[in-house]
Amino acid sequence: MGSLMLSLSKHGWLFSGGLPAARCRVAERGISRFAVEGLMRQYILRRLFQSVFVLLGVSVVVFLLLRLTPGDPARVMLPEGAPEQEIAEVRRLLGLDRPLVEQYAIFLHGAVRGDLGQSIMQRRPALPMVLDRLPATFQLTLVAFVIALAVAIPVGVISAVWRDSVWDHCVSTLALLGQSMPVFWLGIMLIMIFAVQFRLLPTSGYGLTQIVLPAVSLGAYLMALASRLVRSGMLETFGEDYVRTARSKGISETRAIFHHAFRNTLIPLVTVVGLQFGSLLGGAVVTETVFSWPGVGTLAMTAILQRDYPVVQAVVLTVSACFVLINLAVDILYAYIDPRVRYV
Amino acid sequence: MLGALGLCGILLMIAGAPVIVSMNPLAQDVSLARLAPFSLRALETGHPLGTDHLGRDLLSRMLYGGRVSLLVGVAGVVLAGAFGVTVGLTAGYFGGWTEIAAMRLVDVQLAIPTMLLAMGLMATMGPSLPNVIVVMGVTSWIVYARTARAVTLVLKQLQYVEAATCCGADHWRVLFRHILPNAWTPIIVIATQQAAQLILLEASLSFLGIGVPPQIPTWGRMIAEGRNYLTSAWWLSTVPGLALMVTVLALNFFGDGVRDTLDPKLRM
Repeated sequence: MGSLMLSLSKHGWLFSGGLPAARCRVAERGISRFAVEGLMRQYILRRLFQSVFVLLGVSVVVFLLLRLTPGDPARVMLPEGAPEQEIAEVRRLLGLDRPLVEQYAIFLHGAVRGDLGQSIMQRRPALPMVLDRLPATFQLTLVAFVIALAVAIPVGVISAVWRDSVWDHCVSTLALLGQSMPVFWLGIMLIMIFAVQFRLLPTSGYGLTQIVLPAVSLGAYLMALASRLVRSGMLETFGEDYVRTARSKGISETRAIFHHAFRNTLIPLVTVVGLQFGSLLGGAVVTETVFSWPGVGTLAMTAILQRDYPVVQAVVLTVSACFVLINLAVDILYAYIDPRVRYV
Repeated sequence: MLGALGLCGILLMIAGAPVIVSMNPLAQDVSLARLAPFSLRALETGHPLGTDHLGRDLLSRMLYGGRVSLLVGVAGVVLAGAFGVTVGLTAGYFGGWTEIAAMRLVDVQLAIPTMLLAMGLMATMGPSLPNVIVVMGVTSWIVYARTARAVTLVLKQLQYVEAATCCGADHWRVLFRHILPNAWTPIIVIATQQAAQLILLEASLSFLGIGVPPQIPTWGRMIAEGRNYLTSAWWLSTVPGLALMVTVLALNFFGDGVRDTLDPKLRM
């Protein structure tokens, strides 16, 4: 990460202001603005194409997940001593009596049409069960994301500005602790302190006050990581010629920090933070279990304990698809921030 | 240095568990249930860190549970590293369809959140220690594959590789005798950092009840069991959680130290 930031700043790429500034620069070189916009369109189409392939690959992995069950998946899903007729019925429902390739073709055909099979336990389509729970998971993940960045960015900036101060050392220590702490244990500690001991917040449930503790415990790792990234990024850009030039021109320290140094820290921050969104989605599964938050995580856990594998498949496929789309959005945003990416 | 010292201390304590504690981590005595750490009764009965809801000694469960966590972390790293490095070396050296197939497989796995993939695999494979290690390996091999491929792409252009080929070395000899020894540095850095992540992942799976079987004490399971006693026995979740955090912190420090020593350019 340090070397990436070093190369970005040394090549003199200031925060370009995105497409408009890129247009000005290429206009100077006699390249039409249509070519620039065409590059962006090509980049978006290329990424879309890659995303479709990745989604196909994910569908193969999810399809094979059920087939990894040792023995007969239908027999494993039902309680011990289940009659053969019921086992045969489940096998027929899941299409396990057909050749593997045909099973995948049926699965893919169904997935494209929004049919990800039926819950063995509840006898209803699996995808609507997942979609009902998805908003709650996204709410939790988004709030955790916002809290993490809202704390990490100012803390990282202040740590960089007050380098080697008591504040800086405290923040660095807390950041290391934050990256070492298990999400579920932090959640339990927060429950013990804020809900049980001081009765300030509820222990579980779904609502505006109920989201605070799970969001803080879920966002703690990202908070720690992002604060370290911002701090190291700012320290690197502080030493750059353009920041020294800006200061020597007499601008205020605040403007030098935020308008020049911080904006160039955004580029690697967006990359890393975007990648961490997948970890947040995965971490949300555990956090939801701790706080009984009614998201896809609790649905997946219930399905796993009940051996309701079609629902498990539906959860993994849906969440992965969301993750692919979010990554696509982050890549497009990144290309908008840093035009050089479009040439890759 | 701090990380290495901490890690050595933890390893010594865990390895010396049979010497440090005489209590069986599975032995139950309900009459001694939920004794607070360092309380008079706990010290009198030989349970310095107290007991859990079934009267089992917390110190011995913590030390024996640490063995499982470290075993899973190390074994997972070895498995993931062996597979990932082989795939990465092969993809980087041969290129073409081998590289395309390997890297597309990496892209596909990157699209599935690690925790969800681990949960899905454990759900289908069933809870057992070998299965947990396999799942650790399966979920983390991609980092090694990408790194090994990137390093191989650079190293295969070098003259000593060309010289080895001219001398008649076959592809596998060039890969494992000439390229791999020079590709170790970033892989070792990643391995030390991954060990901490795998310990956290195993603890998460055990916390959810889909990791190692219930009869094997692990830190994650201990934290889960203590959830129901937060008001009456706060130490049941706190103590194993602290042990887990300190171990992961020591590994993170150690990993940072290894990175700073072997490859300072990666320093953050």
